[in-house]
Amino acid sequence: MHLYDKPSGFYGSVPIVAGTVSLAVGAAMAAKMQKTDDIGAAYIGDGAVEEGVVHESFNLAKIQKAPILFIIENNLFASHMHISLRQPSNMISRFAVANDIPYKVVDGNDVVAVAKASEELINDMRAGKGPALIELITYRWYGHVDWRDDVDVGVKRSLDDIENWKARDPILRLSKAMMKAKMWTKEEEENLNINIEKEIHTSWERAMKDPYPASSATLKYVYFHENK
Amino acid sequence: MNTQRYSYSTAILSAFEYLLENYPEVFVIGQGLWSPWYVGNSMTDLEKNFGVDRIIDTPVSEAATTGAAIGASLAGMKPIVVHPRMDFMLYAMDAMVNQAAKWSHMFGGQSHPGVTIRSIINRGGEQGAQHSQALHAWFAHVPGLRVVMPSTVADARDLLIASVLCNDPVIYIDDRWLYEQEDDLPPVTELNLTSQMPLVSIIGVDITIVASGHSSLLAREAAQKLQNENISVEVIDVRVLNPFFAEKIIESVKKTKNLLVVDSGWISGGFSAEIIAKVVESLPVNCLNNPPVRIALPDAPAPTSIVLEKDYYTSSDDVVNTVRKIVKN
Repeated sequence: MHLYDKPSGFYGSVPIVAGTVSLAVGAAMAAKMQKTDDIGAAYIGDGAVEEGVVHESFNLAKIQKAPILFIIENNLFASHMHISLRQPSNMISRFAVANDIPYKVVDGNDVVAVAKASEELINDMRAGKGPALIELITYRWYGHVDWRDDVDVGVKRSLDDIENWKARDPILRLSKAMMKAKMWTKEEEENLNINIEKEIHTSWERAMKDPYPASSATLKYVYFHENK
Repeated sequence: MNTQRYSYSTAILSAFEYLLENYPEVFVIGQGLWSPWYVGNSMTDLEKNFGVDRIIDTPVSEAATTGAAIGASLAGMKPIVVHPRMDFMLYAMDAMVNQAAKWSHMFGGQSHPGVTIRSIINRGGEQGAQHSQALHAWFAHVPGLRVVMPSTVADARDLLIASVLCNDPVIYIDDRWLYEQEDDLPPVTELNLTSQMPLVSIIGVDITIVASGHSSLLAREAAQKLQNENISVEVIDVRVLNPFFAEKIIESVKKTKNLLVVDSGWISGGFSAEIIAKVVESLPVNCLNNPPVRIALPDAPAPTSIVLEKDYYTSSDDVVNTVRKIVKN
């Protein structure tokens, strides 16, 4: 919901679908004005392109030559609806064509392919060529809201489909490929997994012990000046 | 003191010039900025003097433009969005109400969109229902937004500068019917928007009239006319509608014991009701000599016919007549 990590360049994530796409265009415009090497990056799904402001944002980014990468995770589902019930085509990149924005369509479950394609597009952006779009074809494992498969709440998809897509788990594929190329070992994979589990566990414990906010917090952060 | 003559609109222009000269992080974005007939003479030649990279005319995209300005503010800029008509700004409601207004609160005060959104009320002249609206009450309803309605030449300039220098999202609303006012202004002193309160613009003893924007001008004109009849009117200009501080108004009403509110929005659910509520809540019982009265627009969209328009919009004579009725009651 409300994720934020400014030191990493992550300006915020909020629940309104597509609500921050135009903000990312503005952050990219700011980077261009400030002549930093920064680029904007907006992560959206296939459902978000059904919002009008996304198309305004594509057009504005292009006309402003804003260095922004639109990253479309096309996982075929928005809430309870398959893309075939929502759009006349399942290719989101058609909107890049419409706005004369360079784009690539990539297997979204292939980490190396995503990295390579992104790198090329980002290098072009840093050379002043304006926005780019990358469409990552992938699949939604879970439901719209929680951790369940969501096969029976209006979404027509089979457990077989989900299992087939899970076999294409991008992390699993990367790890296998690295082992095959003798870049790392099964033992290293296991150690990494143990460390990640530990980090999650520690963070969870910390979060559970964290006190609830004071009652004054409701009014405290509404405006900047009341934050002193 | 060294003063210079300004109209309300050239005072706005001078605020833009001051900000663009002194703050490199300020830029202006919106529709019609390279063709400034859209905004009277409040932005003349800005693109020539400060360049088209800082004065950005945009596609017909209110939503994306406003959102982009908010995003740029999060990245350290001080953007000013211009919506030459408030009616068209409604396309940008998500950016203003869901994003800008909530941002500081959602992220626990870590991040603040210091963006100014200038919106112009532009009505009359048979322009009709979609070229006329004064929706300040909507924005005053939303915590997290600051809502500014300058009524005087000085405020047109100084509150625009204060809005842009403020770290919060500000909706700055000016009114084309105010552009002809003139005044002599001293050089700019930067004001802190958060400490700007309602201002007593005329001192009086018989009745308090509270208003903002163009309605404040009507109140001041009415007060002048009523002087000849020995009715002494105190006029209070609200200036900042959100957050709204009513203390000065309450003090005034305790003295005059009569309250009239004039507002350029619709009467039902409007800001006039908020003013009366805030005042009455804090008054001793039986403090008022008469029930509080409000003058606002009838609950109908703006008509296109010039004959109907004349009835629809409030004139200073309407204010004069209402005051007479209250005071002579």
